[in-house]
Amino acid sequence: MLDIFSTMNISASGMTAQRMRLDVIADNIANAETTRTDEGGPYRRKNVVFQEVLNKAMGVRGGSTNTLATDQLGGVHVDSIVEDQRPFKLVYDPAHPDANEEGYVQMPNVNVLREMIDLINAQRSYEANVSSINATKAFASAALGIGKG
Amino acid sequence: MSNGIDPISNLTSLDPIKRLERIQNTQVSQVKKGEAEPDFQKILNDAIKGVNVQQKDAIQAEDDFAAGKISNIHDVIIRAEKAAMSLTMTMEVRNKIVDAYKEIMRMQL
Amino acid sequence: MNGFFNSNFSTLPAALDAASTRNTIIAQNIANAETPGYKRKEVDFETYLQQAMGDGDGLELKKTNDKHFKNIPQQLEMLKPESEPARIPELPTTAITWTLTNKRLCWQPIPYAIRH
Repeated sequence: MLDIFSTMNISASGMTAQRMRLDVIADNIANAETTRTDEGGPYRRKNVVFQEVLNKAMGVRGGSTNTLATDQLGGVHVDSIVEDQRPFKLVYDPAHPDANEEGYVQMPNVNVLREMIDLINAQRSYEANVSSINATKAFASAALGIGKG
Repeated sequence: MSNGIDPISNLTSLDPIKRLERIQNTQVSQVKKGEAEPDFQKILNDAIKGVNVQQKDAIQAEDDFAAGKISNIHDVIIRAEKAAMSLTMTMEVRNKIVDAYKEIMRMQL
Repeated sequence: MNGFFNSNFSTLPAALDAASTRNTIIAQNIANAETPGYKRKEVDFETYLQQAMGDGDGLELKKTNDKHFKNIPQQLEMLKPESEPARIPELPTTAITWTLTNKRLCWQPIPYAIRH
Protein backbone atom coordinates (compact mmCIF):
# COMPACT_ATOMS: atom_id res chain seq x y z
CA MET A 1 0.00 0.00 0.00
CA LEU A 2 1.35 3.34 -0.96
CA ASP A 3 1.98 5.29 2.18
CA ILE A 4 2.65 9.00 1.87
CA PHE A 5 5.31 8.71 4.55
CA SER A 6 7.28 6.05 2.76
CA THR A 7 7.72 8.53 -0.08
CA MET A 8 9.27 10.94 2.40
CA ASN A 9 11.52 8.12 3.61
CA ILE A 10 12.89 7.77 0.08
CA SER A 11 13.85 11.44 0.02
CA ALA A 12 15.19 11.22 3.59
CA SER A 13 17.53 8.45 2.49
CA GLY A 14 18.69 10.65 -0.37
CA MET A 15 19.44 13.47 2.05
CA THR A 16 21.35 11.15 4.37
CA ALA A 17 23.40 9.85 1.46
CA GLN A 18 24.24 13.38 0.32
CA ARG A 19 25.25 14.29 3.88
CA MET A 20 27.69 11.40 3.96
CA ARG A 21 29.02 12.51 0.59
CA LEU A 22 29.48 15.97 2.07
CA ASP A 23 31.44 14.49 4.96
CA VAL A 24 33.75 12.69 2.55
CA ILE A 25 34.25 15.80 0.42
CA ALA A 26 35.03 17.85 3.53
CA ASP A 27 37.55 15.20 4.54
CA ASN A 28 39.19 15.38 1.12
CA ILE A 29 39.41 19.17 1.18
CA ALA A 30 40.76 19.28 4.72
CA ASN A 31 43.42 16.69 3.91
CA ALA A 32 44.37 18.02 0.50
CA GLU A 33 47.96 18.56 1.61
CA THR A 34 48.41 15.85 4.21
CA THR A 35 51.59 13.92 3.58
CA ARG A 36 51.58 11.76 6.69
CA THR A 37 48.84 9.32 7.58
CA ASP A 38 48.61 6.36 9.93
CA GLU A 39 49.36 3.95 7.10
CA GLY A 40 52.52 5.86 6.29
CA GLY A 41 51.95 7.44 2.93
CA PRO A 42 50.13 10.62 2.01
CA TYR A 43 46.37 10.98 2.22
CA ARG A 44 44.39 9.14 -0.45
CA ARG A 45 41.27 10.78 -1.83
CA LYS A 46 38.07 9.08 -0.66
CA ASN A 47 34.90 8.58 -2.64
CA VAL A 48 31.40 7.38 -1.76
CA VAL A 49 29.62 4.64 -3.66
CA PHE A 50 25.85 4.97 -3.79
CA GLN A 51 23.51 2.07 -4.25
CA GLU A 52 19.81 1.98 -4.95
CA VAL A 53 17.72 0.34 -2.22
CA LEU A 54 15.02 -2.05 -3.38
CA ASN A 55 13.14 -3.86 -0.66
CA LYS A 56 11.93 -7.38 -1.23
CA ALA A 57 8.51 -7.60 -2.77
CA MET A 58 5.65 -8.44 -0.48
CA GLY A 59 3.29 -10.93 -2.00
CA VAL A 60 3.23 -11.90 -5.61
CA ARG A 61 4.24 -9.39 -8.22
CA GLY A 62 5.22 -9.61 -11.88
CA GLY A 63 8.57 -11.29 -12.10
CA SER A 64 10.59 -8.87 -14.21
CA THR A 65 12.30 -5.77 -12.89
CA ASN A 66 10.08 -3.69 -15.13
CA THR A 67 7.10 -4.28 -12.89
CA LEU A 68 8.28 -2.92 -9.57
CA ALA A 69 5.76 -2.11 -6.92
CA THR A 70 6.14 1.28 -5.28
CA ASP A 71 6.43 -0.21 -1.82
CA GLN A 72 9.70 -1.82 -2.91
CA LEU A 73 11.40 1.51 -3.46
CA GLY A 74 13.74 2.36 -0.64
CA GLY A 75 15.76 5.27 -2.00
CA VAL A 76 19.53 5.17 -1.83
CA HIS A 77 22.21 4.23 0.67
CA VAL A 78 25.96 4.55 0.77
CA ASP A 79 27.35 1.16 -0.10
CA SER A 80 30.96 1.88 0.84
CA ILE A 81 33.59 4.55 1.03
CA VAL A 82 36.43 3.67 -1.31
CA GLU A 83 39.84 5.20 -1.78
CA ASP A 84 40.82 6.63 -5.11
CA GLN A 85 43.63 4.46 -6.46
CA ARG A 86 45.04 6.98 -8.86
CA PRO A 87 48.74 7.75 -8.33
CA PHE A 88 49.87 10.48 -5.99
CA LYS A 89 50.99 13.83 -7.28
CA LEU A 90 54.74 14.39 -7.24
CA VAL A 91 55.77 17.91 -6.27
CA TYR A 92 59.35 19.05 -6.35
CA ASP A 93 60.17 20.47 -2.91
CA PRO A 94 63.56 19.37 -1.50
CA ALA A 95 63.09 21.40 1.70
CA HIS A 96 60.02 19.41 2.68
CA PRO A 97 60.67 16.94 5.54
CA ASP A 98 58.91 14.19 3.57
CA ALA A 99 60.86 14.65 0.35
CA ASN A 100 62.51 11.58 -1.15
CA GLU A 101 66.12 11.40 -2.36
CA GLU A 102 65.42 13.28 -5.60
CA GLY A 103 63.58 16.05 -3.74
CA TYR A 104 60.07 15.01 -4.75
CA VAL A 105 57.22 14.94 -2.25
CA GLN A 106 54.21 12.69 -2.75
CA MET A 107 51.13 14.86 -2.32
CA PRO A 108 47.54 13.57 -2.00
CA ASN A 109 45.69 12.88 -5.24
CA VAL A 110 43.08 15.49 -4.33
CA ASN A 111 42.09 18.16 -6.82
CA VAL A 112 40.57 20.89 -4.69
CA LEU A 113 38.69 22.46 -7.58
CA ARG A 114 37.09 19.15 -8.42
CA GLU A 115 36.11 18.75 -4.78
CA MET A 116 34.51 22.19 -4.77
CA ILE A 117 32.41 21.24 -7.80
CA ASP A 118 31.41 17.99 -6.06
CA LEU A 119 30.48 20.06 -3.03
CA ILE A 120 28.11 22.20 -5.06
CA ASN A 121 26.63 19.10 -6.70
CA ALA A 122 26.03 17.51 -3.32
CA GLN A 123 24.35 20.68 -2.13
CA ARG A 124 22.10 20.79 -5.20
CA SER A 125 21.15 17.14 -4.73
CA TYR A 126 20.33 17.81 -1.10
CA GLU A 127 18.11 20.73 -2.09
CA ALA A 128 16.47 18.62 -4.79
CA ASN A 129 15.56 16.02 -2.16
CA VAL A 130 14.14 18.79 0.03
CA SER A 131 11.99 19.90 -2.92
CA SER A 132 10.83 16.33 -3.33
CA ILE A 133 9.69 16.22 0.30
CA ASN A 134 7.90 19.54 -0.08
CA ALA A 135 6.17 18.24 -3.20
CA THR A 136 5.04 15.14 -1.30
CA LYS A 137 3.62 17.32 1.45
CA ALA A 138 1.86 19.41 -1.22
CA PHE A 139 0.33 16.20 -2.56
CA ALA A 140 -1.16 15.38 0.83
CA SER A 141 -2.39 18.93 1.35
CA ALA A 142 -4.00 18.96 -2.08
CA ALA A 143 -5.75 15.67 -1.37
CA LEU A 144 -7.13 17.13 1.84
CA GLY A 145 -8.63 19.88 -0.30
CA ILE A 146 -10.89 17.51 -2.20
CA GLY A 147 -14.44 18.65 -1.80
CA LYS A 148 -13.61 22.15 -0.59
CA GLY A 149 -14.54 25.17 -2.67
CA MET B 1 -25.57 -7.65 -48.46
CA SER B 2 -23.18 -4.97 -47.49
CA ASN B 3 -19.61 -5.76 -46.62
CA GLY B 4 -19.24 -2.66 -44.62
CA ILE B 5 -20.36 -1.51 -41.25
CA ASP B 6 -22.58 1.39 -40.42
CA PRO B 7 -20.16 4.19 -39.47
CA ILE B 8 -22.61 6.19 -37.40
CA SER B 9 -23.57 3.47 -34.94
CA ASN B 10 -19.95 2.51 -34.50
CA LEU B 11 -19.09 6.13 -33.89
CA THR B 12 -21.58 6.28 -31.05
CA SER B 13 -20.32 3.02 -29.65
CA LEU B 14 -16.85 4.51 -29.47
CA ASP B 15 -18.15 7.44 -27.48
CA PRO B 16 -15.67 8.15 -24.64
CA ILE B 17 -18.30 8.22 -21.96
CA LYS B 18 -19.65 4.85 -23.00
CA ARG B 19 -16.13 3.49 -23.11
CA LEU B 20 -15.47 4.56 -19.57
CA GLU B 21 -18.74 3.01 -18.50
CA ARG B 22 -17.65 -0.26 -20.06
CA ILE B 23 -14.45 -0.13 -18.01
CA GLN B 24 -16.34 0.68 -14.83
CA ASN B 25 -18.73 -2.18 -15.26
CA THR B 26 -15.90 -4.65 -15.67
CA GLN B 27 -14.01 -3.47 -12.64
CA VAL B 28 -13.86 -5.61 -9.55
CA SER B 29 -15.75 -4.13 -6.67
CA GLN B 30 -13.45 -2.66 -4.04
CA VAL B 31 -15.13 -4.34 -1.10
CA LYS B 32 -14.76 -8.07 -1.65
CA LYS B 33 -17.41 -10.48 -0.51
CA GLY B 34 -16.97 -11.59 3.04
CA GLU B 35 -15.10 -8.48 4.17
CA ALA B 36 -16.77 -6.05 6.50
CA GLU B 37 -17.64 -2.70 5.02
CA PRO B 38 -15.24 0.15 5.88
CA ASP B 39 -16.15 1.38 9.32
CA PHE B 40 -15.70 5.06 9.98
CA GLN B 41 -15.05 4.54 13.64
CA LYS B 42 -12.29 2.06 12.93
CA ILE B 43 -10.74 4.43 10.41
CA LEU B 44 -10.80 7.29 12.88
CA ASN B 45 -9.38 5.13 15.68
CA ASP B 46 -6.54 3.93 13.49
CA ALA B 47 -5.80 7.50 12.45
CA ILE B 48 -5.66 8.70 16.07
CA LYS B 49 -3.36 5.84 17.04
CA GLY B 50 -1.14 6.72 14.09
CA VAL B 51 -1.00 10.34 15.21
CA ASN B 52 0.02 9.27 18.70
CA VAL B 53 2.80 7.07 17.38
CA GLN B 54 4.13 9.82 15.11
CA GLN B 55 4.07 12.44 17.88
CA LYS B 56 5.99 10.21 20.28
CA ASP B 57 8.49 9.43 17.55
CA ALA B 58 9.01 13.13 16.84
CA ILE B 59 9.58 13.95 20.53
CA GLN B 60 12.04 11.07 20.78
CA ALA B 61 13.88 12.31 17.71
CA GLU B 62 14.24 15.79 19.18
CA ASP B 63 15.61 14.36 22.44
CA ASP B 64 18.05 12.15 20.57
CA PHE B 65 19.29 15.03 18.49
CA ALA B 66 19.85 17.18 21.58
CA ALA B 67 21.76 14.32 23.18
CA GLY B 68 23.86 13.90 20.05
CA LYS B 69 22.66 10.44 19.04
CA ILE B 70 21.31 11.61 15.68
CA SER B 71 23.81 13.28 13.40
CA ASN B 72 21.43 14.36 10.63
CA ILE B 73 19.17 17.28 11.38
CA HIS B 74 16.91 16.41 8.45
CA ASP B 75 15.86 13.17 10.18
CA VAL B 76 14.49 15.18 13.09
CA ILE B 77 12.76 17.68 10.83
CA ILE B 78 11.18 14.98 8.69
CA ARG B 79 9.85 13.08 11.68
CA ALA B 80 8.42 16.28 13.15
CA GLU B 81 6.84 17.08 9.80
CA LYS B 82 5.29 13.60 9.61
CA ALA B 83 3.74 14.12 13.05
CA ALA B 84 2.28 17.47 12.00
CA MET B 85 0.91 16.00 8.76
CA SER B 86 -0.64 13.06 10.64
CA LEU B 87 -2.43 15.45 12.92
CA THR B 88 -3.69 17.63 10.08
CA MET B 89 -4.94 14.66 8.07
CA THR B 90 -6.70 13.11 11.05
CA MET B 91 -8.42 16.43 11.77
CA GLU B 92 -9.59 16.61 8.17
CA VAL B 93 -10.91 13.05 8.25
CA ARG B 94 -12.74 13.84 11.47
CA ASN B 95 -14.21 17.02 9.99
CA LYS B 96 -15.47 15.16 6.95
CA ILE B 97 -17.08 12.43 9.05
CA VAL B 98 -18.76 14.98 11.32
CA ASP B 99 -19.99 16.94 8.30
CA ALA B 100 -21.46 13.82 6.76
CA TYR B 101 -23.17 12.99 10.03
CA LYS B 102 -24.60 16.48 10.33
CA GLU B 103 -25.81 16.32 6.75
CA ILE B 104 -27.70 13.13 7.44
CA MET B 105 -29.14 14.52 10.67
CA ARG B 106 -30.39 17.55 8.77
CA MET B 107 -32.61 15.44 6.54
CA GLN B 108 -36.27 16.04 7.22
CA LEU B 109 -38.11 12.79 7.70
CA MET C 1 -27.12 9.03 -19.92
CA ASN C 2 -25.47 8.99 -16.55
CA GLY C 3 -21.93 9.33 -17.82
CA PHE C 4 -20.03 11.50 -15.38
CA PHE C 5 -22.30 11.09 -12.43
CA ASN C 6 -22.08 7.35 -12.25
CA SER C 7 -21.21 6.39 -8.68
CA ASN C 8 -18.72 3.84 -9.97
CA PHE C 9 -16.73 6.43 -11.84
CA SER C 10 -13.27 5.38 -10.78
CA THR C 11 -11.05 6.62 -13.58
CA LEU C 12 -10.33 9.87 -11.75
CA PRO C 13 -9.21 8.26 -8.47
CA ALA C 14 -7.08 5.92 -10.57
CA ALA C 15 -5.49 8.98 -12.15
CA LEU C 16 -4.83 10.34 -8.67
CA ASP C 17 -3.17 7.05 -7.77
CA ALA C 18 -1.06 7.33 -10.88
CA ALA C 19 0.03 10.86 -9.94
CA SER C 20 0.92 9.74 -6.44
CA THR C 21 2.89 6.76 -7.77
CA ARG C 22 4.65 9.08 -10.18
CA ASN C 23 5.62 11.29 -7.22
CA THR C 24 7.17 8.32 -5.44
CA ILE C 25 9.08 7.26 -8.55
CA ILE C 26 10.36 10.79 -9.05
CA ALA C 27 11.50 10.90 -5.41
CA GLN C 28 13.41 7.66 -6.06
CA ASN C 29 14.94 9.14 -9.21
CA ILE C 30 16.05 12.28 -7.36
CA ALA C 31 17.53 10.31 -4.46
CA ASN C 32 19.42 8.08 -6.90
CA ALA C 33 20.47 10.84 -9.29
CA GLU C 34 24.14 10.09 -8.76
CA THR C 35 24.06 6.37 -8.23
CA PRO C 36 26.21 4.76 -10.91
CA GLY C 37 24.34 2.43 -13.24
CA TYR C 38 20.94 3.62 -12.08
CA LYS C 39 18.25 3.50 -14.72
CA ARG C 40 15.67 6.22 -14.57
CA LYS C 41 12.21 4.87 -13.87
CA GLU C 42 9.04 6.23 -15.35
CA VAL C 43 5.32 5.78 -14.86
CA ASP C 44 3.43 5.19 -18.09
CA PHE C 45 -0.21 5.36 -17.13
CA GLU C 46 -1.82 7.17 -20.04
CA THR C 47 -0.84 4.58 -22.64
CA TYR C 48 -2.40 1.74 -20.70
CA LEU C 49 -5.51 3.77 -20.00
CA GLN C 50 -5.85 4.52 -23.68
CA GLN C 51 -5.44 0.87 -24.54
CA ALA C 52 -8.09 -0.08 -22.00
CA MET C 53 -10.39 2.57 -23.41
CA GLY C 54 -9.92 1.25 -26.91
CA ASP C 55 -8.02 4.19 -28.40
CA GLY C 56 -4.65 2.52 -28.74
CA ASP C 57 -3.50 0.62 -31.79
CA GLY C 58 -1.75 -2.09 -29.88
CA LEU C 59 -5.01 -3.66 -28.81
CA GLU C 60 -5.41 -6.78 -30.89
CA LEU C 61 -8.72 -8.60 -31.19
CA LYS C 62 -9.08 -12.31 -31.70
CA LYS C 63 -10.64 -13.10 -35.03
CA THR C 64 -12.47 -16.25 -36.09
CA ASN C 65 -13.22 -14.92 -39.55
CA ASP C 66 -11.06 -12.85 -41.85
CA LYS C 67 -13.78 -10.28 -42.22
CA HIS C 68 -13.84 -9.52 -38.52
CA PHE C 69 -12.25 -6.42 -37.05
CA LYS C 70 -8.49 -6.57 -36.67
CA ASN C 71 -8.01 -3.50 -34.53
CA ILE C 72 -10.33 -1.09 -32.82
CA PRO C 73 -10.09 1.74 -35.33
CA GLN C 74 -9.49 5.39 -34.71
CA GLN C 75 -12.64 7.48 -34.61
CA LEU C 76 -11.48 9.62 -37.49
CA GLU C 77 -11.11 6.61 -39.72
CA MET C 78 -14.90 6.19 -39.62
CA LEU C 79 -15.42 9.65 -41.07
CA LYS C 80 -13.99 8.72 -44.48
CA PRO C 81 -16.50 9.12 -47.35
CA GLU C 82 -18.60 6.19 -48.49
CA SER C 83 -17.03 6.09 -51.96
CA GLU C 84 -15.08 2.97 -51.07
CA PRO C 85 -16.53 0.02 -49.20
CA ALA C 86 -16.12 0.61 -45.49
CA ARG C 87 -13.37 -1.83 -44.54
CA ILE C 88 -11.43 -1.51 -41.33
CA PRO C 89 -7.87 -0.88 -42.43
CA GLU C 90 -4.80 -2.27 -40.73
CA LEU C 91 -3.28 0.48 -38.65
CA PRO C 92 0.45 1.04 -38.28
CA THR C 93 2.13 0.37 -34.98
CA THR C 94 2.58 4.01 -34.03
CA ALA C 95 -0.35 6.16 -33.03
CA ILE C 96 -1.47 8.34 -35.87
CA THR C 97 -3.17 11.66 -35.71
CA TRP C 98 -4.23 14.50 -37.92
CA THR C 99 -1.73 17.33 -38.27
CA LEU C 100 -1.75 20.43 -40.38
CA THR C 101 1.26 20.34 -42.71
CA ASN C 102 1.56 22.78 -45.58
CA LYS C 103 -2.08 23.77 -45.17
CA ARG C 104 -3.15 20.19 -45.81
CA LEU C 105 -4.48 17.67 -43.34
CA CYS C 106 -2.39 14.53 -43.41
CA TRP C 107 -1.50 11.59 -41.23
CA GLN C 108 1.62 11.87 -39.11
CA PRO C 109 3.00 9.26 -36.78
CA ILE C 110 3.58 10.22 -33.16
CA PRO C 111 5.68 8.05 -30.88
CA TYR C 112 4.42 6.38 -27.75
CA ALA C 113 5.58 7.38 -24.28
CA ILE C 114 8.84 5.47 -23.90
CA ARG C 115 9.77 3.58 -20.77
CA HIS C 116 13.43 3.12 -20.07
